[in-house]
Amino acid sequence: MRPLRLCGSLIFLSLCMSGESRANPLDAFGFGSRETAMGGAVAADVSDFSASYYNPAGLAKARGFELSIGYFRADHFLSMNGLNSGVDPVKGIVGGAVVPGKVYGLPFAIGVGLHLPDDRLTRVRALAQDQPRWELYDNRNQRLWFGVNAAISPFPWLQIGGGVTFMAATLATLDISGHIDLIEPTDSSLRHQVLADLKSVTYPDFGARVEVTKSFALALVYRGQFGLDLNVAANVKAGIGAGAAGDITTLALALQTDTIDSFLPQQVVLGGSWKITDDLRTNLDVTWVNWGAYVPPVTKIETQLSVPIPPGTTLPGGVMAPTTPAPTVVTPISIHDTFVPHLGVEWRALARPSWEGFVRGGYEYDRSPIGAQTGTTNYVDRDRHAVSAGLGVRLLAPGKILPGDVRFDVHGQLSVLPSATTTKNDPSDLVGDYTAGGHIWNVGLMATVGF
Amino acid sequence: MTLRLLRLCGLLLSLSCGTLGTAGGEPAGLPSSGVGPFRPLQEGELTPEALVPYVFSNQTADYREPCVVGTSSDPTSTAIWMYAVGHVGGVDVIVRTRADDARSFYGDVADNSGGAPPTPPVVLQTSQTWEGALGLSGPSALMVSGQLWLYYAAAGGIGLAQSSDGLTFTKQSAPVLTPDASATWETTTPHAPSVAVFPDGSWHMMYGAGVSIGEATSPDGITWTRVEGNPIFVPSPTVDPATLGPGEVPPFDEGQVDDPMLAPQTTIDGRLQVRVLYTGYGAPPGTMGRSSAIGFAARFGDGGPLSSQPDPVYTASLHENAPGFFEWSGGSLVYVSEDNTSISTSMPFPSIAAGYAPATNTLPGPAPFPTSP
Repeated sequence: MRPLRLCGSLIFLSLCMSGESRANPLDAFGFGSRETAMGGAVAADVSDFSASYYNPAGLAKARGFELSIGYFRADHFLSMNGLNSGVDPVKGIVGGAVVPGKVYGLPFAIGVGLHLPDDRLTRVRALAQDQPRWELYDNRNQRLWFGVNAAISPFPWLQIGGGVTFMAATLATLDISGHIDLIEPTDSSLRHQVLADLKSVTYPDFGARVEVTKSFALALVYRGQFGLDLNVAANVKAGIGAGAAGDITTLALALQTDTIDSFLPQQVVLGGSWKITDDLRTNLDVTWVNWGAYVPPVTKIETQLSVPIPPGTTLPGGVMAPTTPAPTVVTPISIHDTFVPHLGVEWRALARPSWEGFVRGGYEYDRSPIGAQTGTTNYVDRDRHAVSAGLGVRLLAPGKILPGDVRFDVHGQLSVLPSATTTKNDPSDLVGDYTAGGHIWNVGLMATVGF
Repeated sequence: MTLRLLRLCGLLLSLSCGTLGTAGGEPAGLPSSGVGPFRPLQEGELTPEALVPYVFSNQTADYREPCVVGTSSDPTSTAIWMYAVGHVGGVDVIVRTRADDARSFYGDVADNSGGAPPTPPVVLQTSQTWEGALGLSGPSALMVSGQLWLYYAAAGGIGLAQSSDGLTFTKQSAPVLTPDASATWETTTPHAPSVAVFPDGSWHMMYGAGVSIGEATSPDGITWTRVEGNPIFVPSPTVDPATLGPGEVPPFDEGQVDDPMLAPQTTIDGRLQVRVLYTGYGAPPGTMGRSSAIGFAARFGDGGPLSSQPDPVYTASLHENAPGFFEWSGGSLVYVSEDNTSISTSMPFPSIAAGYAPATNTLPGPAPFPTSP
């Protein structure tokens, strides 16, 4: 029993130490083909690897060891003023595993989930506040997601679970020192020292599932907030000279940048699942998203610059002595909390002794949390209607090697962002009025092997 | 089983993931008002013989105060005429040149494949009493029903000349806008006109006078009436340097605003946006060595004061002034008078430089110089 207690303690400690929660592409495009096809409305109806994201409590309902792997791709067709905005696709491998067991005779399971992009593991992009960008699609979803969760079922009608997700924060310093020769640049000698520290960031989620009746279940899920801290400090100290005359002045630059990237606010999901018949199930989730706490990825820069002009020196026309730039002033973003409804339906259309076929559909409505961008900022976003559909096949006990089942699921999702016009209050705004809208295609497939 | 679970648990808890990835694609097709910020033209965007960012330069003629007009209704065309002030025969005149790529101007100092650069023709010079003897300045050209209307400034006010070919002009016999003693803010004669026809067919002129910018309207481009509420644009309030924080600078245009360049457009939402590029001076007229930069001001609708951007849209710390403007489907160019220090840093001469927006884009290579003006 000790190992299990220790294991539980480790998870509990991880949860307690975690102060922030996730930012990931899963919120936008789902996790797993079955779940995406059902509009993400599975908080009370999930027991496979994707429970690590949708509701860790669902892991305790797993019937046996499962391995899942698949691939998904979401392509953006988003435009401003009719010109494609060039938002990169989100694509990569999706998968995970569920390992069930018993603790004190109670059903217990550990699950892992992974979204592994095939372009990059994560991307940081801090843009100027006034540069138009698809704030919730351009960069925020370009990252890896890896979650570890555990769940237990203390009563047959109750499952509870929780876990942690891993990410990294960056702390870096850059020191440059030496001599700059204005006449013979090749004689310049500069020494560089770079120190970078990637700190692990963990953040928790919790979930509970209650079987109210045999055909009806409720779920409650909490996901904390997450922000990727990026802190870079640069120090440059150099003498500036001209040939053999030695240094004529010195350059001293101290730069400190602080950025919060990939921020995702805390969320609470209330879900319900109603098994209407043995073959038909409908689910409804409502997610509260605390967007009001959102921190946009705008870099705060503080600089100290000193390049003293030697006495008696006259600068030629067009040349001005460099001065320390003013620190960045970040304009607050207008953003508010939202409630996101998810609706899903699953129909077991075919039931044969050795296999079953499923048809699924779903809908999700994301009202844009970002207020009208009438000022200097241009955090572009639009309401999103996501309609999804999918098919699934489940092979029952296909062989002696696989006493469980094998499942294949595919999904397609179309997100429509109706075009709307942003108008500026200030006629001298350098960006001006613009229309923005578009759509996103998301397709994928999964294979799951149950033992 | 429990031991295996423990190992798995420990392994998973010990994992952490995170790295920096590839940059990926940059945002593209971004909306813009089309008026900057501009960056100076760079190597590769002008002919190798040219000195970037100067597009029309001659040490003797001192070309300055540019104004450009497109010669085609094709929005992708970069064929333009430029009217500029030049010092010819001891007096300031207006010359014309042209470029097929909006950059390589006939008669520029770099247009020297045949030896000396060709001489752009003088299209307008003083000839009437009200114009005085000091010469002409501030050309503002626009196409009206196939005719080229050229407004200009002289000693007695603002005049108008018209041409069917853009080279041979017929002047109005009297200035179209003269000093108004009742306009107390006009402490100098109106100058630096910029004229545009708005979508409703009304004519609007903005001009410099004193330290501010005024506006007049006309039903026909010839008879002008000053608007109520002049001046429509004044210098930014003066800031006490002692109140500035670290790294903060006083407004670049707290001394004077001048040289309006009027560029109205209808926004994608159907609103009339009156865009104005202008020269902002950091000190009042007469101040030795005062700095200047090109600013952007605008308003919605056909009347009222302008609001402005706090930062310049083009600056080179070379006394840039008198902006001209050209916009096509590939971006926009600002042309400015600017000190040319290529021969002497202590005795610069004026030349016409150009800046391009969007600043993150790069123009294709230049076209050959035209063989005629």
